[in-house]
Amino acid sequence: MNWITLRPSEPDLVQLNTRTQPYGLSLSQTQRSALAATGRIEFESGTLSALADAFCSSPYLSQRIWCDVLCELTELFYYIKERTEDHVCDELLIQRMRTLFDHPCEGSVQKLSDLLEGGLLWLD
Amino acid sequence: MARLIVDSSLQRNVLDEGHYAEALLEAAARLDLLGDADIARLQDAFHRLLTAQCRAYTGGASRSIRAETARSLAESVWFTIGLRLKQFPNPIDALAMLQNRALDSIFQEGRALVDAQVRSAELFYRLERARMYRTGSKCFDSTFFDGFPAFFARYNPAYGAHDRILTADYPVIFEPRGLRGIEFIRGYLDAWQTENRLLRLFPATSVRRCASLYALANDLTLSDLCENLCEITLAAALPSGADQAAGKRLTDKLGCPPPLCAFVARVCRERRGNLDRIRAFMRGA
Repeated sequence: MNWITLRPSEPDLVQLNTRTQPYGLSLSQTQRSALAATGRIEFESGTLSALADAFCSSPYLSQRIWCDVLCELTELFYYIKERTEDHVCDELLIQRMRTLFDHPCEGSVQKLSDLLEGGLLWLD
Repeated sequence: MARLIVDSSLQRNVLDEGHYAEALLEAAARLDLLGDADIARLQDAFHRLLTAQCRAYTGGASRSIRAETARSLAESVWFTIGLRLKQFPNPIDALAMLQNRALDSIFQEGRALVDAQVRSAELFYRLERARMYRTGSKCFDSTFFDGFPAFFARYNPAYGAHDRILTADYPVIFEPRGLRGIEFIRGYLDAWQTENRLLRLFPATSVRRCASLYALANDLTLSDLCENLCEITLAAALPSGADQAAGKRLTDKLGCPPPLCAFVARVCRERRGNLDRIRAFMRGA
């Protein structure tokens, strides 16, 4: 008997906004592998929705690249959560990611990753 | 409830005391005392409880957590539930409680027990520490004069009840086996108290002298010695051999109360080889 495994959070995907719904499966797989790669477990659903809600208004995202970028942002999100040892709360991290994504990163997840890793964005 | 007829195979003494709740559930499932529906209900209740613990642990600031942390939180939850279940001498009664009561209320009652045990252990430790002197052995002194205060400062009943934190480097003669968390600490303190009560019947200078001699025979100093001081002192106090008759003569001479007489008799019975080895070393020195 496995008493420890927490529930997977796939049901949350059906609640994502209409632009994301067609990519639910792909996002779910990305989320699972990002969680596994960072050694984390999601105990409460909502991360994907929050990321999708925050980024859907970016002028740098089109329907064509939306799913790929959201997958990359999901991976980055969990990576930074792990690197900061949970000292940064979900909402603040998503907010900072969103703010930097448009400027100065101009829609580049790689630039966003470099900035976040550099830690400069945390200096208010 | 028809399945809860006492099954002689579900015995307390075969269940792992350190993982009591899990061991009880596994044994019950193996003996078919829990059906699939029971297991599913308990798993569901446990998941809800663990999710609530994860949420509380992150202060509501995160929806995810390190898998390692989640495992530790889960162990803490089961340990706490196990403490409540252990209050039933018969495991079948504990199983009935798991079937009939909400898991989170069992957990809350377990939490209250953990808290009560921590308070009692801390009081017990303070009383014992006030009576005990520094021996000169770093291992002894650092465990009891530094390690325990650190344990009480760092032990977290809410999220790490199963964790014992203390390395317990000093080897008490009868170390509690298979226990974790505050239960281990309480057992370790009990063992320490019994040994201290006996040690205090000897002059402190004699205890230090015996330990120094034994350390010398092992090419060590008293400071570096990490062996049981009570056993060394007893070996020196039983010059003619460590049989139970000699042990009785010693306890009579010291005027030991019954619990200490029983302790010395047990040491002579179960640790005679070790006492003889210590004595031989000391003669060599």
